[in-house]
Amino acid sequence: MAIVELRHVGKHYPGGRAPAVVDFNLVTQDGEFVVLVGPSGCGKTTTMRMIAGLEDHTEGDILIGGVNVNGVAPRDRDIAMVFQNYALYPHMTVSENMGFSLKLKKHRKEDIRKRVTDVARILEIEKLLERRPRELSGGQRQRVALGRAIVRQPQVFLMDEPLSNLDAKLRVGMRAEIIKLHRSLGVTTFYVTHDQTEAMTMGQRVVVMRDGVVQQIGAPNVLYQRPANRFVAGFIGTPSMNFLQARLENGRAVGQGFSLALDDLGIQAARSRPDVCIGIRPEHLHLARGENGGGRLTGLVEVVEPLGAVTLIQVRVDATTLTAQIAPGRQVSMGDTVTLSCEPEMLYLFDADADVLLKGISLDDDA
Amino acid sequence: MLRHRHILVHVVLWSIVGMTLLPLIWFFLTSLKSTNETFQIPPAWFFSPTLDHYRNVLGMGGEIVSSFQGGSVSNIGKGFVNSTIIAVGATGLSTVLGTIAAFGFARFTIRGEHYLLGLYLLIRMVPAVSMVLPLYHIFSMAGLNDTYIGVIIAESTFQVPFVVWMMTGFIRQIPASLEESAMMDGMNRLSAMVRITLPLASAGLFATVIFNFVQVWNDFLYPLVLTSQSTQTLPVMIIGFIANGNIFWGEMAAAGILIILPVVLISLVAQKYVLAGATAGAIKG
Repeated sequence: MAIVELRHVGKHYPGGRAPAVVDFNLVTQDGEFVVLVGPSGCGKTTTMRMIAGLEDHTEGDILIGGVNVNGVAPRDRDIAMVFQNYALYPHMTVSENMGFSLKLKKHRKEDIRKRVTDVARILEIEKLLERRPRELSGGQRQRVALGRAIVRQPQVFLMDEPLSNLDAKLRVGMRAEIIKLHRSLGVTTFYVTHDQTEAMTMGQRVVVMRDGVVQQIGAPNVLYQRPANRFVAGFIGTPSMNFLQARLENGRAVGQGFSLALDDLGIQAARSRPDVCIGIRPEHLHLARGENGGGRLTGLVEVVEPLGAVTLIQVRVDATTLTAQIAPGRQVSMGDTVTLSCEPEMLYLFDADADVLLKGISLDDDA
Repeated sequence: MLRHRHILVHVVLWSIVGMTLLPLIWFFLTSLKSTNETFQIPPAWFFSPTLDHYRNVLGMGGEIVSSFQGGSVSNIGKGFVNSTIIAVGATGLSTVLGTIAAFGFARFTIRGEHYLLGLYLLIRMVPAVSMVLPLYHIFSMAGLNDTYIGVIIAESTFQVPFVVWMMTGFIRQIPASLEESAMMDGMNRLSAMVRITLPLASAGLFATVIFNFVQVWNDFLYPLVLTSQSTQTLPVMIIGFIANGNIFWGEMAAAGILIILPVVLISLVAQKYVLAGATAGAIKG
């Protein structure tokens, strides 16, 4: 267990035009579960590989447990990594795979066997110990890969999209299991994913990256309610947030085909800016019944997607298509004209030019 | 219809096999015929075989059978020793050097990588005969003519590019994350390569070694120019059977059969691996 600290860490590939990672700063807590998330090519995996020592960082310092590990070989960093493709040694059995690092460190045979069986019991893979990786299913391989990391009792775990090769159902199960494992082991963990649902459900803190630059670091609810900018707002939450360009007129946000009331916070935040970008999450849009003082958006239903628990509809309001999440009982079909409304306090406001957040929605703690 | 096509396929396949093997069969029969029968027209398909030619080339006939480049030999035993030393040496050297280079190509981003690999290929495209004279000259100055090390180096110049091309492909098929995993587990890069990646690429490595060995074993041109008495290889010795206006066809054929025997045996034993190695790259991209 250790605190990991990244100070102004950057990575420039020789000959590369744009830097892969720019000025990354983060101090973890001991035993924290940190998720790095972002679209592909955003630098999240590079960041993790720099912590592992598999890639050199070209700027800044990385400290693990207070020790500067710049230039330290991966094997001397006391870190275990779970790879996306599991990277199990095909020519070794499961127990040899799991005990390999202990063998290299010249642990006694009985000691290795005991640790391997203990971990195998936790992961429920005791019966697989004598098999080879090719005889295992994807889910079993995933468990072995986790087991191999846990056996080592390292200071830090790194997990590089470990669930992306599993089918959807298995993924949800493993997600919960990794969280449980982390709770019981208490080892500082970095987890890379491009799946924002994974990031939100697993991370104690989430780092959102884009083009090598950290966009925001925060707890999942903070990212949801106070996204630092439009990118984070659009990336976090499914379906994605709707954005509308608007101008301010008498305390209302007015745009093509709509006029929405702002609350006091919104009016204050948007003051002195004639143009803003409005963000509305699909789950905050409702089918309006009758007159509503808050304002409304009227448009044509283009797509209806019943998901069972909820129904998603895409509504064309002038030039913009909005997604709304409505109760499944509501009878809406393609081609209908509907009116949507949103509570003023549920509106996000962004600077129209700089894309930074002017006003989010209230945090759970505030209430 | 299907049955006819089946038969046709077999006819075509067997005629190709026949065409390929006919010279070899002729060659084998010649080695067993007496000198008179060798020249009989129409050829004698049925005859009482003799091992005289084999006895002669193995030095049991007491005659001087091969004389070439200022010396004469009474048996090809020394040639076996020379060929083995050179083939093993050149195969070993080029496999080690080529595999290390292949590792670099497969695992690191190297500026101008494609040009460099192309350049390697170019070396193989240049006719060997155009390089042999400069090599002879350089080796003369360096005192490497008619030495094992000289021929081994010369053969390796031609074999290293082959190993680089083959092994780069094989190593690329092994996920780099396996080495990285081993590096996290406590190995350095070199031991991860030797203990994790190479065992996994062993079918390819084996095929490469066999091809390499066969090519060096059978090579004629470099040993012809770069060796004389003390390091002469088997293919060069065969020329010695054309001596003083005589051509010893029977001896030539017997020696030829003896030369290809080890190679054929190795290939038969290794066939499984060679096929696996040669086709491995075709399926997995």
